[in-house]
Amino acid sequence: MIDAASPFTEHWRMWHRFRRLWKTEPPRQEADPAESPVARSSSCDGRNEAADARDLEPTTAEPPSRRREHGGSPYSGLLARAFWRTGVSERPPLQFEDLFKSKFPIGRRHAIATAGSCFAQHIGRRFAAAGYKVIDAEPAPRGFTEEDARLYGYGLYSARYGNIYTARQLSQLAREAFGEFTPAESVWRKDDRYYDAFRPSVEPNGLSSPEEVAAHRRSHLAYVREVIEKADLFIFTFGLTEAWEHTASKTVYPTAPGTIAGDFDPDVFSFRNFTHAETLADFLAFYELAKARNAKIRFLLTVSPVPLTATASDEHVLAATLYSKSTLRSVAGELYHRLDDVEYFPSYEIIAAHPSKASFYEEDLRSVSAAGVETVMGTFFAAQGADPAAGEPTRKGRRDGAAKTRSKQDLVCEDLLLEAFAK
Amino acid sequence: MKVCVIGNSHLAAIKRAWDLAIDDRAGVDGHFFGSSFKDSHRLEPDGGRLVASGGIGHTPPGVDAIAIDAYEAFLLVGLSTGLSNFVSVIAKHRTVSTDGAQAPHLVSDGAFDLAVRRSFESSAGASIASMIRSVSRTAPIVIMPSPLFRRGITTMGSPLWRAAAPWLPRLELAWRKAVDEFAATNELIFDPQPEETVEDRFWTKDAYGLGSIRMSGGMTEERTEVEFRHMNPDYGLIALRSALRRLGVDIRSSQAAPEADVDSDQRSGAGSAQAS
Repeated sequence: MIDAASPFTEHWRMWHRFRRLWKTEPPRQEADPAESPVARSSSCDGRNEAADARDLEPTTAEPPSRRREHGGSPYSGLLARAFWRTGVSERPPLQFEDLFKSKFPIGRRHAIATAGSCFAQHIGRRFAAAGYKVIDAEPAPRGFTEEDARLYGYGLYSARYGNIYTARQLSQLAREAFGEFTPAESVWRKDDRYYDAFRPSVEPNGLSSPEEVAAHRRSHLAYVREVIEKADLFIFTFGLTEAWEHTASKTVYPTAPGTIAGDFDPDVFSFRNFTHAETLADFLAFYELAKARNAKIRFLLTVSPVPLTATASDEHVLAATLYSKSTLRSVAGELYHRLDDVEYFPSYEIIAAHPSKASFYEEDLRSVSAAGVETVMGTFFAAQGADPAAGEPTRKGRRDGAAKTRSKQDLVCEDLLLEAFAK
Repeated sequence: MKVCVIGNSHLAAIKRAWDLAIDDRAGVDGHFFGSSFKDSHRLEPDGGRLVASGGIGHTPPGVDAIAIDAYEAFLLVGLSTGLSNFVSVIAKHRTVSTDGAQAPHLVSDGAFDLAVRRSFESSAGASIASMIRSVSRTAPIVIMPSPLFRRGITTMGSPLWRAAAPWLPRLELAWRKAVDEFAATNELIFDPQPEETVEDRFWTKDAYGLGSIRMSGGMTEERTEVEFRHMNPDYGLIALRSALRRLGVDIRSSQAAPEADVDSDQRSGAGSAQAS
């Protein structure tokens, strides 16, 4: 229960008061827009406050990049989606039909590769179910059920690389696949079994020897090369900035040593929390390598809305999450603006931004609900001119508990294992 | 003993052998139900019966469903339960120890065993056994696996079969493990292919492939084309004798060699009044 006299309640009242003002008193009717609650609540960067309120009226005309003229405000004539009031506040809740405008068409004829953090598993699955040509270079053995396949890391992504949480991990994998990088400490042990340190979850019981791990990795890397060389579109979901690395060689891992297998030795391994510059450089390294091998490849970036399970940064996990997601979002944005063949899809905004009021999260405020996944993918497909419901796993009862459970349990996320270490 | 015999194309050799060699003295009454390979998955439970939406291909006269409680025992013949049926698992996925360097995809031993197990569990034989067991907890169910192919398939079959030798032992290991686990879980009796019909562990002797019987045409017609998967009534009799022995029925005293001293036209269907 919320205390009627609590600061939260007062804040809530203010918000509703602002909303009423917003709806009944459009900006142009304000005597001094810069002083109005509307202006204060609509922008903090000063641009809107300096603009003539009448010029802020939304329009469906051409975007300003094509029609800016001398005189007047550069905000005049902007589309409705450019303004918070018409783009968000006055919209029916949870509708995002013009949130995403595709730079380039993505058709069912394009070979699509997927990789990234565990949220990306939803993306590949839904694309495939919707009839898009999603590359599956390492298919599951004949006879496997879907659950078996997930257990062994099949069908999660275009190759069996497991979750790729950081841009450093992605570029490292590609460089290793094309012989430009030799990782250190690539085999981890647990009891008498051996694990590929870069995808320790794909063999739940490990392998019998380091040599067998090496043989499997050689085979896997051939398919990584194939994926990069064949993809028309490479979808990557940025997951984390935090990683563990082999200090001497700068080799990074998807999980901390000792979580699934291996042993953590602080003299050998160290924690890294990558910066914007590092993350940007890592993705650009991957981008350049991929383009060198496959000139036609294009990229679709997303940022996982799934918060960190745990942080080793010494910050509170909420602050660490915000740092991580902000950094990744910033990098994705810079790549989007700098490169014509890089697209950004705002799945992060749909799920995690405050207009959704956390309604797309499950009770743990971490797992994304089935409804959230559907909204994300529906928004994407609608922007592509496809049926927004394309590839939905179930239409009936999609908001029921079973659907939510399915969404959560269908993912393979190594970082969830960190919860076991919570006191 | 009233026995229900259900099978796919391999049923023909068993049925023919039964018709030729078993008479009333054996004290066993066989009812035969057969569907082709592609139709054998269509059986589904309907109360205490097994039915097929398009009908069961071959049934005793006047019978269109398998009433499970009407039988004291079941023989499941072929139904994609034999070792040779699981070669497709190994077509693209092999372990390091089984010619891994040549395989399109390497898999761990755990994944390989699981793939074979799942394939066995989804075979028509396993599926039908589960359906029967869900109705009858006690009736003996004997699985008579599809016979091993004849070696000729390695020279005239697909490229996969031509390179079969290195990985058949590993496949057999996984298959037998899957069979034993499934049989134990469902209280089934697995009756392996009789040793006397096998050569070099993985092949049925050529002698049992000559004159194999078609299921179409009343299960009396011999094949004329060259193929390596189906067997003749001689094989059928040996396999049948072994399976019935598992049910406590010894047909040695009541049968004779199929083509030796039996007028097949007269005996067809007579060995068991209900056989059809």
